[in-house]
Amino acid sequence: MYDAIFVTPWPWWVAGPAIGLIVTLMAWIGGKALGVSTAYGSACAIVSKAAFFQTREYREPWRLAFVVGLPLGGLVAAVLAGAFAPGLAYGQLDALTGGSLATKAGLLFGGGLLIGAGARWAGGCPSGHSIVGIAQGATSSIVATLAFMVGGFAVLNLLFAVLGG
Amino acid sequence: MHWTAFTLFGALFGFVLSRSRVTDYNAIAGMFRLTDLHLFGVIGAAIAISALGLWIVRRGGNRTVTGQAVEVRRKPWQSGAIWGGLVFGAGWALSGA
Repeated sequence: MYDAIFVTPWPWWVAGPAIGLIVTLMAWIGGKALGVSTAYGSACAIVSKAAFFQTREYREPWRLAFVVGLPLGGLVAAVLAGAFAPGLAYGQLDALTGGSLATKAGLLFGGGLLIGAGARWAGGCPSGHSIVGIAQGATSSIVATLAFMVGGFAVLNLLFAVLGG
Repeated sequence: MHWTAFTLFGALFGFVLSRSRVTDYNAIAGMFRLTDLHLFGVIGAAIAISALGLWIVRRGGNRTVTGQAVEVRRKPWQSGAIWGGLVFGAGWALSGA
């Protein structure tokens, strides 16, 4: 039982409903729509005077509290799984980059920039758009999710074609 | 609900994402290379249960358990969904995050 909950990765039919339950509880208890990437805008709003970040959306403090919790939950999951091993290993990306730390760091840094800019441009990320937004039947969320998939499919397959793997 | 309590929701979400391989580069690479369909199942089931849960909350008058208004609104349409979405997808593929 401990293994199934804390060690073995959950199958999709447990993972998906668990996420849906959290979305529902966030609305029913917290009164908010679950979302992650808008919190980066909230962080910018603290130091930036730019009009873009001065809207109500970015001035809600709960978003920052929420994203502070994310790595804490991840840490608990890793520790309970007996898999807490801080390091630089990054799955298939290690084979792709041929063990070059500089290449890997460059790809991750560039990827981070694209994620930050893309999420603000699209008005959300896979949590706020693909899960909560589609669950509400929002056109922008359906289109954004298709775009996430097309962009990811194109770039990842290009990456594997160029770097081999 | 006090805003600091949302850290608990974040921790719960982070725990579930970690247990679900959503934070695993290989799972994300597998999704975009169509060699591991796990994440499609996760996202699909999450949408279905979220839709059901949000529908029940709406049917209940869109009030939280303590009687506050539920602020879950549909995101308005804007063309950034296309261009920003493509840029985000590229970053998702590179960083697996």
